[in-house]
Amino acid sequence: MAPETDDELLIRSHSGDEQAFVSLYRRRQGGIFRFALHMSGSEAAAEDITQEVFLALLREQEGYDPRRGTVSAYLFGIARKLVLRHLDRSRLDVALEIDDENAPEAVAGMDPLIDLTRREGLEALRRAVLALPRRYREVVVLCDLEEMDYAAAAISLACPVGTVRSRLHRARALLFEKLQQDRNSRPVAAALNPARCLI
Amino acid sequence: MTCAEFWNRAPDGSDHLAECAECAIRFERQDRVSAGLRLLGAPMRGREAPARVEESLVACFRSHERRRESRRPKELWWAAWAWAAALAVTVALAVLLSQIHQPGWSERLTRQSAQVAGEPAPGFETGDMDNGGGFIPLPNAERIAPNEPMNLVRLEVPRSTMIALGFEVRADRAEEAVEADVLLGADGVARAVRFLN
Repeated sequence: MAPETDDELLIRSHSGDEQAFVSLYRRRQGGIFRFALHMSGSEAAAEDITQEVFLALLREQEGYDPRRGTVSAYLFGIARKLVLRHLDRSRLDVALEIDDENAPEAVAGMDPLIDLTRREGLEALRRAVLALPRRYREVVVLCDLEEMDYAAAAISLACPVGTVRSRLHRARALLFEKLQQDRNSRPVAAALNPARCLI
Repeated sequence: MTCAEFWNRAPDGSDHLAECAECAIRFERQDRVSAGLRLLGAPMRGREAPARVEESLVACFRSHERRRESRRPKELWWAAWAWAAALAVTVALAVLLSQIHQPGWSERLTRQSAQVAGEPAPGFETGDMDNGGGFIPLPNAERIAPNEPMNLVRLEVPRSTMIALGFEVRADRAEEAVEADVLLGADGVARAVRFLN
């Protein structure tokens, strides 16, 4: 027997079937939680946002329209709004200076991507993702971190596939620049570190 | 293919990369950033919200359902009352109209007028019936006994009722209520009706 679709589970859930609600939650909560976590960088915020998304599903029973997209896209849409509200409140959303889609890419001097095989390199990349402007961060989280295809990401973000693609290229270019800046500043920072504390 | 055209489409290693060194470098760089991102996302892929979120949501679901259940009986009562009222009105109208539509009712009007000679109802003059008085006899008026006491009841009926008695009623006003005096015999059956406005 084929598993129930999200739409079927949602209808049953709205008619008071707790098991259907739990099934839908278990099926979709992981993606929502990780999206919120990657976007906010905070586990507590991701937890709150995940809970709020499904509470909204309970409260606003008329909110979902199957003609406008899938249940998953609807949930991501709610999550996105909540993440943006969280970022506005917490002011953690410090974007990169370069926010112009048409700005030229930096020319690589030393290759910062070699570091990506190491733990520090990945940590730098994680910081760089968190520092991306929101619209770029969203596509990176969905398409690269979550490996969602462009079409599904476009539905989730309510924008055309072409926009997802162009933002993704720009986001990756910005990440490269950020990693390069980090790498270039690292020797200076290392030189300032005392080898031993004398006090 | 120009560089712009290449980047506006899905850049998946087409011939343009062989022709344009700059795009080839840029593409290779993006590919490696993407690989790094996938590497970064891999350990997170199994991450889920803590179990307490589900527990809390299930509690909210139950509370939400309880509230909905508690609202239901009230809603049902309202619906039951509305249906009962609608049914009562429909039955009353059906009775009234069925009496009007009995065959030969119009030729009995004059006979009925003569028979109405009992005690008049308060506020009702027997003459009202004899000389018309605005009353329109209903088909069962022939059953009035010579000295039968009669009652006059004033009530509101839908204006559409007047159509069956030969009045012209505009469709947009058919739902309006109109006051009427109904003449009841001792058996409680309506004998005649008079519309007041």
